[in-house]
Amino acid sequence: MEEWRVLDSRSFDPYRNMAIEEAVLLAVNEAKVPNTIRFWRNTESVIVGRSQKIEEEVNLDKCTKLGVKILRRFTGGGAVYHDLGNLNWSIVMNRSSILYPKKILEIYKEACGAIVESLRYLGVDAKFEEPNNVTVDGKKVSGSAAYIKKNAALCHGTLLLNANLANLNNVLSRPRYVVTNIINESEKRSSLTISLLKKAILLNFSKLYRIKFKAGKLSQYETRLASLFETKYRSSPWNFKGIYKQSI
Amino acid sequence: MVRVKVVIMPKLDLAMDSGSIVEWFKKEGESVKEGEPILTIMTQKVTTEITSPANGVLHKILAEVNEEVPVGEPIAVIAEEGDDIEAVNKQVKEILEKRVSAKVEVKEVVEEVKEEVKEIELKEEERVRISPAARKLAEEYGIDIQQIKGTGPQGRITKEDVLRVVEELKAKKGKIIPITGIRKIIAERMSLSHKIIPPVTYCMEVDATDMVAVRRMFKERENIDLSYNTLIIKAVAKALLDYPIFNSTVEGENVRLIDDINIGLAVATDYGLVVPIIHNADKKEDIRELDKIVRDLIERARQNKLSIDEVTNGTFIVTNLGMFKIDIFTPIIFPDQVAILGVGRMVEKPVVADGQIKIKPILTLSLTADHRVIDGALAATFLNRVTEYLEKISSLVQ
Repeated sequence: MEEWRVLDSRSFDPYRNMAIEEAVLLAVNEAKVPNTIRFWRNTESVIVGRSQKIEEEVNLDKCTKLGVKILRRFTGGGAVYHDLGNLNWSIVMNRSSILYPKKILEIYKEACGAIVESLRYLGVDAKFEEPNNVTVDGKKVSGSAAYIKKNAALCHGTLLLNANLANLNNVLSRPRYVVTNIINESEKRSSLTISLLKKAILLNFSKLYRIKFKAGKLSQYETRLASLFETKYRSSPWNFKGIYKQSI
Repeated sequence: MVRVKVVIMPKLDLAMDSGSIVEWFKKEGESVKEGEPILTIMTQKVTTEITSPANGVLHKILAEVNEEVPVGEPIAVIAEEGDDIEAVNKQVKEILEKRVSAKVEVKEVVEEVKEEVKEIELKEEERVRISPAARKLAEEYGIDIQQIKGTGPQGRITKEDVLRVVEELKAKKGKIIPITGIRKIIAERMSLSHKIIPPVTYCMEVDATDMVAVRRMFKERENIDLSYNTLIIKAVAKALLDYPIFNSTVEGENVRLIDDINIGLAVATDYGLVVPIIHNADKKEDIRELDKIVRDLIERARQNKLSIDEVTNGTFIVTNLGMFKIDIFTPIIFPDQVAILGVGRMVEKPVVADGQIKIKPILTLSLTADHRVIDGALAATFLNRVTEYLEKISSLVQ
């Protein structure tokens, strides 16, 4: 049985959380820390994919007005909206792990598969839609992205529990999917909480892949890496790549 | 015989028919090792690093960042160290021609090849012209004569040509230290800073008489060894309150002034440079409390025991090389900040005051500021303010 570390981020700062995300991947890649599952939430922010053009994906004026931060992640894919009603999950595994994908898209099947099982466990009729989405009633509740390094792979995704969908539709200029929250006020799911979701996810990952989870914390190495990465995620040249111009 | 290796866009899953280049980690001409990541590609869904198929030199990049490349198309050429450039270039040309003429075929070929790399071998038809003495010498040193460029008649390799290669090989030797991990990230951050920030460094001498006096007073009165760094952070925090633009960050076309004054102190440790952050430094009224925080952070930085909160969210950095006997230097601004203050050593110097030569402790401050945001006069005013506070530091601490 593989033993994995659980990281439950205390920080809601999107820059810091993204920096930690990249730091964990690097540390797992260098086999300095165990395979890891991580939960994190951000305050209001838009996270664009690595190669996206911000001006095409994000309504910049609305972001400024609503105080929504904008940052670029290191994985590809589309722009997503985060707030505290959205739970982000990440799995990071070394090449030696049973979960390390043999074929590249398997990583989504494994990760989203467990998310679907977790939601079903909680009574939510969720479905996996290839290649990397989880839907409820035909609407997207979770999207994911992955990064494969030489010796490690990372897959992370969103999970909309009760995010501000009005905000989401305001700040994303061209949402590609119809999204919904797992909690629908009119139904009995309203008793679901973030903490319950996390427990269900751990339980179902553990059942599906025979993984033993142990609460852990960031290593010193990751902490230091993250502090360096954070500079990047707070900086305009990285986030606003393309539209950033130097002005004297 | 010249052997080049072609890196092709791999087929990572059945549905993949192309990938785009996200980032090249290596430049043309740089050495690569087998298995070392050389670029990142993105398929429709996954970001992946691609490793070098061989040891050698990244001779040619065939696809630029953001370029969409069909599966099986060549994206780079790796040559062996010391390969004849002309022969390699000839190969590259052939590869490029093949790419244009055989776009359709490539896909079919890929199904069969199914590897990331296709090796192409080229046989040199021409006989190598070399003098007997040169051949003997080359054998003696174990040098492949294919790698020697002849300068004699009709390109004949002479003894001098061999000796030249021997010298070149000797000059190339030396221990190789790969830049990895934290070192690599520091390198990237610093390069990024230099790429985007036009820095100017301003230097000013500070009469440290009052600093020395304050330190002595605390020692005698309370038996506290107040650190000079603490006094400097105190003065800087106060000056930042006066000039908030120095506590800001450039966001696209805007500058955002940051409310919190979080001063970082660069600390050299066995693990490399660490910058613990004194959060809300301006609000630490009691100098004893500030000094305790500073000392504790430095100590734990050296022991590699800082938490993530203690190394993030810095807004302005102080870097002190005084203990290494540096007087003046040109610190580099962290990419999300607009200025950094370097502190030199404190040294007794003859100074003219009131028409007399006096001996005074002097230290030099080196302020680097981002000229996009801060002009020279403003930088000078700020530096003057820091200096004023330091020269009258006794009025700020009780």
